[in-house]
Amino acid sequence: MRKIAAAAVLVVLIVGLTGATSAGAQSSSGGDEKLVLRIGDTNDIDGFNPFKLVEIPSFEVMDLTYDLLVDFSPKDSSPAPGLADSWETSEDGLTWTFHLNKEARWHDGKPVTSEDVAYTYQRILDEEQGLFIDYVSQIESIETPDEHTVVFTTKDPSVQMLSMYVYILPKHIWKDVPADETKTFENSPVIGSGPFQAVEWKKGQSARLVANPDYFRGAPNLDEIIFQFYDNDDTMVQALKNGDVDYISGIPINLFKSLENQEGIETNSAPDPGFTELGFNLYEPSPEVIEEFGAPKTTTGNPALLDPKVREAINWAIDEEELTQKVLQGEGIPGSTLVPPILAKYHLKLDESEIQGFDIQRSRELLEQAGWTDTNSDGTVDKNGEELELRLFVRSEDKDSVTEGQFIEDWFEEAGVGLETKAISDTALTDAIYAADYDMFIWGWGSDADPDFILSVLTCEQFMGWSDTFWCNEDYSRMYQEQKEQLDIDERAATVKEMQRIAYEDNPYIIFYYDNQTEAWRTDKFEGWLKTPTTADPGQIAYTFSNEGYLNLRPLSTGDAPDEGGGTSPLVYIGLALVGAAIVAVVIVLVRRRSAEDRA
Amino acid sequence: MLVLNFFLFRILPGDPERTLTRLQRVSPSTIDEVKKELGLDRPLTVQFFDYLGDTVRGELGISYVFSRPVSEVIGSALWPTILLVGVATIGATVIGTLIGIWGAWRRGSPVDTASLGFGLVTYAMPEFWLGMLLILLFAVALDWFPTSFMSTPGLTDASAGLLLVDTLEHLFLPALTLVLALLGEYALIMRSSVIEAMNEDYVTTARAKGMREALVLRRHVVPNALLPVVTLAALNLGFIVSGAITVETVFSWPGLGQLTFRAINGGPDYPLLQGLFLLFSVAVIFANLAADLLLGLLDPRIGRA
Repeated sequence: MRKIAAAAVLVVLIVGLTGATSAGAQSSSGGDEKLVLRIGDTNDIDGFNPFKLVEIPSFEVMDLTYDLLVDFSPKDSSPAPGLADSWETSEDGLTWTFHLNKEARWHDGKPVTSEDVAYTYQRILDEEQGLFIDYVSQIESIETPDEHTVVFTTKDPSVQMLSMYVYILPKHIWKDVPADETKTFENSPVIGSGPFQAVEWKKGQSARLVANPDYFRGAPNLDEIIFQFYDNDDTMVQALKNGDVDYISGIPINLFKSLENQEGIETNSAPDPGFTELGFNLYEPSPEVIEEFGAPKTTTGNPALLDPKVREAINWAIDEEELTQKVLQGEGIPGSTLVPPILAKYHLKLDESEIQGFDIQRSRELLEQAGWTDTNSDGTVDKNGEELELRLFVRSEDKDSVTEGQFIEDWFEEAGVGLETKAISDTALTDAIYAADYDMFIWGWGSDADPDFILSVLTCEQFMGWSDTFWCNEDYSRMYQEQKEQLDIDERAATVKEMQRIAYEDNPYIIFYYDNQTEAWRTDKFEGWLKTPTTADPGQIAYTFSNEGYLNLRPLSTGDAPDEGGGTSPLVYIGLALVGAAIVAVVIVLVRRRSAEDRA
Repeated sequence: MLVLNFFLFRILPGDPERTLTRLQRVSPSTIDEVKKELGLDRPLTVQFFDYLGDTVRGELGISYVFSRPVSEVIGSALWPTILLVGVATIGATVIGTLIGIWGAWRRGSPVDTASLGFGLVTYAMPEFWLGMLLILLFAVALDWFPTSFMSTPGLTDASAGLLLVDTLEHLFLPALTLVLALLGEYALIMRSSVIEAMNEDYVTTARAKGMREALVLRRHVVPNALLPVVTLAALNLGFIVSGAITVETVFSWPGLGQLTFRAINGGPDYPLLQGLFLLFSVAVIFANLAADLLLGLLDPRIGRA
C-alpha cells in the first residue's frame, strides 16, 4: 500500500505542477509587456558603489544612474549640458561658474542643488578618492552662491573643468555614510538623478535598472534595462541568437565573424578609445630624478635604445598593418600617433610621407647610420664588439600580446636585431617597469574622451606614476601644461597635435593598432540603434561616453512585435509525459502486485 | 587540511593586491596601501596563524573580489548548487540504475548493447561540449528553454507559481547535461553488480523455488546489487557542494562551481578559495561517513562486523 500512496503523491505533485505551468504560460502571454532592453556581458558588475568600480559594465550602470556636471555630446564627445545647463569662465580661466538645471530631481523626488555638487567634489577632495581625484585635484575652492549655481576656483587655468568624469551624488544620502565606509556602502537601490535607476543586483546573474519617468531631460522610451552576465562567450552568443538577450559586446573575433550575415542580427566593429603599444625603457638615472620621484638608482635597459635612430629603425621593422590584419583579423586601425582617431578633434593624422611604415631595408640603413652593422656576419648587428640583443616582455594574461611577440621575433631577425621574448604576468611587468628592469614590453592604454590623460602618460612629471617608458622630452612636457590652460579648442588641438608629432618622431612608444570594440544586436525588437559619437567612423551603441544610444531606442513600429512568452511552456508537455508515465507505472505495479500475491 | 588550504593558494600565481587595482596601472605606493589593508605586508607565518585563529572562530575572512564576508558569499551560492546537483544526482541515480538493471536482465540483447553504448558515450563526453550541444538544440533550434541563469533576469513581480516554473525551466538544461554526464557511471556499475548478484547461490535457490524471473530480480537481485550504487551515490553527494564547475559556467548558474571559477579568475581570491575548499573537504568527509552509516543500515552484515 505504501507504494501506491507514494505514487499517488507523485501524481498529485506533477498534476499540480503542470497546472501551475499552464497558468504561468497563460498569464505571461497576456497584459501589456514592459519594454526591456537586455544587455549581455561576460563581466559582472562590482556593485552599485560609485567609489569601487573596476569592471566596465559597472561604469555603464553608473553612467545611466548618475549624471555628470558636464556631459559628453553624442555627436563628438565634446562638453555638453549635464546637470549644468550652461557655464562660463573668468578672463584668467581660474574661476568657473556652472548653472544647474532647475528641473533636475533625485530618484527620491528631492531637487538636485548646488549643495549636492559641492558636497560630492569636497568629499572626493577630502578623502582623496582614487577613482576621481585626478579629475578634481586642480580645484582650490568651491562656492555655492545660490541653489542652482556652483563656482569653482582652480589653481591654474584648466580645460579639465569641462571633462570631469565625476558622478554627482545626493548629499542627503551620502552625508550619513562615514568616510571609512565610502567604499563598502552598498548603495542599493541607487539614488541618482540619471535617466535610469539601478535597483537590483543578483551576483553573477544580472543587474536591473528601471526608467526614471521624471528625468529632467525627458522620460526614456525603455521601461527597463537589464544587464545579464554570462560566464561563457559561446553561451552569450547563443543567447543572442535565441533572443534571450538583445545586445552583446566584447565578442571574441572568431565568434563575432560567425554572427556577421546572420538574419535578424546586426554587427558593428568600432574603434575604441585605446591602443596597444610597444614601449621602451629610456631611463637614465640621475641624482635629481632619484631624489624627486624616488626612481630606481640603476637601470638594466639596453643603452642602444636611448638612441632615437635605433628606435626609429625598430619602428620600420614592425608592420602595424600586418598586426592589425593577423592579430585582430582586421577589427582595428593600424596605429600611429598617441591620441586615438576616435578623438577626431585631437588625433594627429599623419601624411603618407611622415609614416614610419614597414621596410626592413630602411631599418637596416637606420641601424647602420647609428653605427650598428653586422661585422662578424652572425646575423646580428653589432657596434664596438657588442651585439644588439634586446629583451621583450609580453603579457601572459593576453594571448594577443604573445602572438605579437612572435611576429616581432621574425621581423627583428630579418633586421638583424637579437631578441629574447618572455611572457610574464601583469604584476611582474608592472614591477619590472617601476624597477627599470626591462628593454621593451607590449601593453595597452585606454583613453578618456578628453586627450589630457593619454597625453599625461608620456610627461616627465609621471616618472614612477603613469610613465612606463621614462621618456622625458622637455618640449612635450611644457606643451602638456600649455594645452591644459588653452581654453580655445582649436588652439588646444594644435598644441595636442604638435605634441603627438614630437612623440611619434622620437618613438618612446610604437603604437601597433587602435583596437576595435565588437558588438552585435537583434533587429526584431527595437529600432533607433544609434552609434555614438555620431561623427566617429563608426561609433558604438553602448559603452560610449554618451547615454544617447540607450535613450534613442524605441520599440519596432513596423510589423508585429516578437511573440514572447506566448504558447505553452515545454514544461507542460514534459509534465504531461511524466503524469502519463506515472500512471502507467502505478498500473504496472498494481497488476504485478496482484499477480505476485496470487502466486504466493 | 587547513594547512594545505592555506599554503596551496599562496603558491598560485597572481597577486591579490594587483587584482584589486585591476584595469588601472597603479603606482607602487597605492599597491603598498592595498597590501597593508589586506594584511599581506606581514610575514607568511603571521598570516598563517591569523588564518588558523580566524577559522577556529568561524571567521572565514572577507572575499577580495566581492568585498563581503566569505561565509555570506558562499551561503548565497550554496542553494543553487544543491538544487542543481541534487536534482541531477537523483535523476542520474534513478535512471542510471534502471538502465543498469534492464541491461543486466537482458544481457547480450540489443537493449543491453544500446544502453551500454549510451552509458559509455555520455560518460566520456566532455560536459562543456554536451552542454553547448543541448543549448544549440533546445535553446536555439527549438527555443524551448533559456540558455543561462537560474531565473529570467528582471522577473520580480511574478507570482510564486510563476517563479517556480521559471526556475524549473532554467534548471532543465543544466540538470539534463549533468544527468547525462553522470548516469553512464551508475548504469555501468549497476549492470555489473546485477550480473554478479544473478550468479549467487541464493538467486539460484530462489529460481529453484519456482519464483518468476521478475520477482527474483526484484526481491533478491536488485537489493543486493544496489549496495555499490548506494556507496557511489553517497560519495557523489559529497561532491554536490563543489558543484559542477563546467556546467555552472556554461549555463551561468550562480552556484559554488561558478563561484570557484570566479574566485580563481578574479584573483586569486585567497579567502574565498580557502573557504570554498574548506567546505568541499568537510562535505566529502561527511559524505564518506554517511556512506558508511548507510551501508551499515542496508546491509546487516556490515553492521554486525
